Order: sequence, then C-alpha cells, then structure tokens
Amino acid sequence: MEIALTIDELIALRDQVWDDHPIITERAILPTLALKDVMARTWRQGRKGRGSVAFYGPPLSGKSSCADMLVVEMKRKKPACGVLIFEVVEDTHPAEGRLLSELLNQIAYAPRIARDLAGKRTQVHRALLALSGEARHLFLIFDEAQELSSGEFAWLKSVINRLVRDRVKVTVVLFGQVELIERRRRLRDARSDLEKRFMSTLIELLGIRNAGELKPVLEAIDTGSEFPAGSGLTYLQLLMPRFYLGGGRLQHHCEPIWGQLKRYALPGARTVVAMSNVAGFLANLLIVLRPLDDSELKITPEILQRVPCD
Amino acid sequence: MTEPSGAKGYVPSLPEHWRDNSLYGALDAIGRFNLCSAYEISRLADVRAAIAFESRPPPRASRLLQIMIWARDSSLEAKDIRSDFLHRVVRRAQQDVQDVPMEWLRHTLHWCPECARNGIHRIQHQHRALWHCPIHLVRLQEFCPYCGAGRRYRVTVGAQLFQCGCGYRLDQSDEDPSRLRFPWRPRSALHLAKVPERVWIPELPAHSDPLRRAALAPQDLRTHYAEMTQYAMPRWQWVDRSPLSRVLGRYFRFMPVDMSSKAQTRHVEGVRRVVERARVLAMMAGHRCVEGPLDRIWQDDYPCPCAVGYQLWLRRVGSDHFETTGRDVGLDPERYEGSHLGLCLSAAWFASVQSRMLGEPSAYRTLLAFLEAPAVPPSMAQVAGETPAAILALLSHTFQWFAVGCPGPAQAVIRARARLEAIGRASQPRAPDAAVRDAVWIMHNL
Repeated sequence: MEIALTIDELIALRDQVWDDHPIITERAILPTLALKDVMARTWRQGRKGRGSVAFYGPPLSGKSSCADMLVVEMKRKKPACGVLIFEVVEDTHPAEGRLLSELLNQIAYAPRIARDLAGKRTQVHRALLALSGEARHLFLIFDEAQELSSGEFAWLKSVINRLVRDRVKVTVVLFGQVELIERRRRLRDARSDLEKRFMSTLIELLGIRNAGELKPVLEAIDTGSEFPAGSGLTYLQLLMPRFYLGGGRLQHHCEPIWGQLKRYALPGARTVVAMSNVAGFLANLLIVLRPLDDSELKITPEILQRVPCD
Repeated sequence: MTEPSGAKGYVPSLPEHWRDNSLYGALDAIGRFNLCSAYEISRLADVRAAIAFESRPPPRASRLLQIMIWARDSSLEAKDIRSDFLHRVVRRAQQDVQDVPMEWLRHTLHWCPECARNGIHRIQHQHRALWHCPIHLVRLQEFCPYCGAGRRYRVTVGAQLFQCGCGYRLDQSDEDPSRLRFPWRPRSALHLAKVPERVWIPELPAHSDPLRRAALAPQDLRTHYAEMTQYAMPRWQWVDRSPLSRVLGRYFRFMPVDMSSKAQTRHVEGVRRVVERARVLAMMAGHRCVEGPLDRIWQDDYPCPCAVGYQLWLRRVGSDHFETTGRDVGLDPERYEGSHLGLCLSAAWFASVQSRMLGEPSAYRTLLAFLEAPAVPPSMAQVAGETPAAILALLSHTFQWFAVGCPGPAQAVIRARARLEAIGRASQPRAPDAAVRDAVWIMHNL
C-alpha cells in the first residue's frame, strides 16, 4: 500500500520518526552478500530431514541480524513452518531440566511448566511439534552457540530425534563467536556424533569486502526497503525526500562511499569492513546529509570525509 | 503453528485439536497436550480476552454457554483479535453456536463413548434432538456409568472432560474392551422384561409417573434387582447390565432372602432390634451424626447421608404397612424394617452424591422426594398365587455405614467457627478477647 504524500508531509513524517528509523538506530537488516549466503545455505539444509549449519564471526559482524532475517525469510519461503530463535546464555552448571525450561521460556510457553524432567521433555517436544506448524518443518536458530556445552548439545540431540520420529523436519542453525571453532574441536574429541550432527559445516561470516558487495546494500536503502511498515516509503525516500525526488540515489555514489569505508577495515582481515562499521557509517552519512537535503544535492568526497563511523 | 512466540505467551496446539472438537473438547484436548487441565487453558484464553477487550471483557471461557452467546452476539472478525489462540477460541465458539443454536443446546454434558475413546467431544453431542452420535451411531451418554453423576456443560476446576469426579474414565479406557465389543447376546431379555414387574421391595414407592421422577425411579431399582438375579442363570444367558444398574449397584445391595425364620415377633420388637443394630454400626463406623432431629441435620448444606437416611426411616417406620403386607408374604418384622432402613440409607447416599456433583444443595431434598410417594403392596392375587408370585427383594442396611464417610466432624468445626466468630464480634466493642481471637484464627486455619 503506497501512500501519496506531498514533500511537506514527508518531511513532517521524517521529523516524527527520525529517531526510530532503522538506519538511524543502526538496526536495519540489509541484504549483504553474507546474509544472502546464510539464507541460501540454510534453505539448502532445509531440504534434509535433519539438517544443520553453523556460522561464526567476530563481534558486530551482523550475526544477530542474520538470525532475525532468517526468521522473516524462512517464514516467507515456507509460510506454514516454525522458526525459533534461542538465545543461549552461559550456564556454569548445565542441567537438562534447566535447558528445557529455558527453551520453554524463550518460546513464551504460556501453560504451567511441569516440575519433573519427564514432564518438561514432553512439554518441550509437544511445544516444538505444535510450533513446527502444518508444514511440519522447524528451524531452530541458536545465537551465541559457543556457550552450548557438550551435554546441552546431547540433550538437544534427543529433543530433535524425538521430533524427527514424529516426521518433523528440523534444521538447526548455529551462530557463534570465533570460539565456536574451539567448541567444535572439543565436541569432536568428546562426542564425535554431536560434531557431525551440529557442526559438520562451519562457515565464517564475513563483512563487506569491496564496492560490489556494498552496492546491494545501498540499492536496498534506495528502493528495496520500507519504513514505516506498510507505508510503501523506502528508507531513502523518507530520510532524504527532496534528494530522492530529484532522482538522487545512494547506489550512484557506491565507489566514493566504499573509498571512505575502506579506512575502517578490520585489522588483519585485508579489506573486510565489519557490518557494525557499515551501519554506523550509513547512519552518520544520513545525519550529515539531512540539513543538505535538496533535489540538486551532490554527495562529494568532501562531505563523505566529514562522516564518522561510530 | 498456533501462535508465533512472543511476549503474549504461546499456547501450543495442533490443528486436529480444533478440527472436530467442540470448544470444551478443544480446551480439554489442548490441556491434555500441555499436561494441564481444560480449566487452566480456559484461563489463558481469559487473560488474552481481558487484554484484547479491555473495555468490555467477555465472559470466562470456562462458562461455555455464556461465551457461545457472547461470540454469537458480538460477531467479531478475525482482524479484531490479534492473539491467535484467542481468535481460535472465539471462532470455535461461533462455530459451535452456528452448528447447535442455543435453543437446541443441552445444558448437561453428553458424550459419545466411541468419540471419547479418541479424545473428541463434538458439539453435536449437545444437540437436544440427537440421542445417538452422528458419526458412530451409538447412544450418547449423560451419566457416569459408575457413580451415575451427571455434569453441567461447563469447564470446572480440577475436572477432566472424560473423567468423572468419582475417578471413573468416561472414555471407558479402564474397561476390558473385549467385553464391550462383544457383549453377551440378550437371550434372557424376556427374563429381564418380565421380572421387574414382579419384584417387590419393602416400602419401595410404586409410582411410575415420569413427572415425579427425580433421577431415580422405583422401577430402576426393580430392574437392577432383575439384572442382578440373572447371574443365577447359566452364563450363556447373561446380558450386560445396563449403565443405570451398574450405578445403582454401588448404592443398593440386596441380601439373600431367607424365609426360614418366621418368628412371630411383634413389629415393635423388630424395629427395636434394627435400631440397636444401626446404632452399633453407626458407632463402629464413626457416625455420631445420627443423633438429633432431622430438622437440625438439614442445617448443613450436605448433611451425612447416613444421618438423613436413618432419620427418614425413623419418620417413615410404622406398623401399618408391615401388618398389611409384610405378614402376608411371611416376612419377619426385623428383616422387613431392615430392608426399609437400607432403602432409606441408600437413597440418601445416592441423593447426597448426586447433589454434590451438581453443586446444588437443594437437589438433595429433591432427589429424596421419590420416597415420599406411598408404597404399594404386592397385589392380593400375587400373594394368593393366582398370578405369577411376587419376587421378594430385601436390601442390606449394614454396608452403607462404612461406605459413607461422615462429614459430621467437619460440619461441627464449621459451626463452632461460626459461633466463635459471633462471640468475637459481640465482645469486640468492649474489650478484644485475645483468647477468642486466637481460637477464631485457629478454627479458620484448620
């Protein structure tokens, strides 16, 4: 649904929602190459009755955004499936009952949680069975997966096995810090079956490496995004209405923007720029451009040099 | 998926829970699925309804009839309700009232034993015009086969849809399925059709007017006796006992009729012996409640059935009936009045259980009303042997004392507490009596 607004109305709306805009708050989920790769690999694993894939990356490389995007994308591709994000918290004394209770809590399980272990197992099984929907397909996404111990992996395996016996497809996606590599090694030493089950594929999440990878992100800001939901307004259209109306697009300035972003490449990772830096740079760019918003605006290297990334 | 996970809370359910079930059936099925009760699930719906309809919350989901009326009248659309679970509840209620209009809805729970075995209760079972399940074509049930209790069509605390308050499984999962599936052929149906007409139980009222019938009719008791006596016949002639007879078997027990001791004792002497025996049994079983007049016993909502039955018998006992009928059939007065006492005790016990199940203290007296009709003696033609002889059946009056737990002490505590509170209130303006206050507190916390 597209709303036909005059330029003044657009500016009034922009002033109203500026502080909550995903670009300004650095919470926008934009289609980076890494994100597309995660989607494709997860979807490929979804073909299997019991699939799993693990991703690791440095802090602020967009893992949590990937998880959020997975929920939206998997529900779009398979509307009757269930997607659950489980935020793992370090447990110094892991116990099966606590893990099961935590699972139930994270899905906001409304009925009373059973006290005994057998009851909790049944409730978790049935809750996930119901969550898997009519498609009988469940995507279990674990964020901060490096915190999962060997025991917890084993308990999760039994939960998944029980679901698979009930003809539910279960696809496990793990997101973790670089410590996930160490966790995988330890898992291999302790329980090789668990390593095979959960982390046979461990892939590094990379940030943006060149201007070609930045371009789809800028394109999405120009044309492939929407805020407020249902308004039909793209990010750029709302944040820079006059510039947008004059035919200005950020993607046309991809090379100079990348030229500035390269300065924030991660140490020791050649030209890889962390997603947090990209998000920070884009937010600051639009903050700098806001008073300059005009149909004739030219984004010059001088302007870009004034943009910080934090 | 029932509902996406979120802050509102997720109530897991499967599509099959909503497919064939009535709202009660769905709530119960979801409760079983989540290892809790239908009532707890209904409360989850209430919480969501309170949030969704903040200004005018609907009736509680446990009150099925009211929520159906509300769902029909409010004519809500899917977009009006954001909680998926609440939306399903309201849709189910709307569907129920569409399938069975309120004018045709039974207010007491009816179920199909075959559907119950699959954990399903259909709204069609509540249709006044239907006596058989539209799917399985078996007769719908309305009373517990064990205790005979009926239930209202509403979700109550601690109750399961397919389990009676007495613990009996209404889906018959406790019973031997082979016996249910291949019952004995009714070869002795003729026996069962004719015998009840001839059964004569001392002091049993003889009216058969359906308008006077209050859950129990004298003919039911005669049929029960006829079904009990079939076991004297060859096994291949047995038929299954009717559900009602199975219920009555819990409350009414017959004694073997021994006509050898035709003592020519007086009626008063027979009554004295029965009274003595009853008092000994009451003392042994801990029934102190039998003392005192009937009016005082009725001060409690649910008085002890033994006390009520005993006092009723004391009021009814008289020599007239015995002299006109008992002596004619050659019965000694002790047996006659013993059976009479057994009838009163068992009828009171039955009435007590039923009224508790209904949650209506007034039903207690109503159910006992069938004893008020005059007893009819066996016809002189039967006594004289001109027509098939009357079959004498005597009821036991001993087992009830031990089978019924006396609520007397609990009622005494309640009365004492009320007295103490009254004393406390009276003494408070002048000087608060610490001892009385402590005693009230103790009684309150007992």
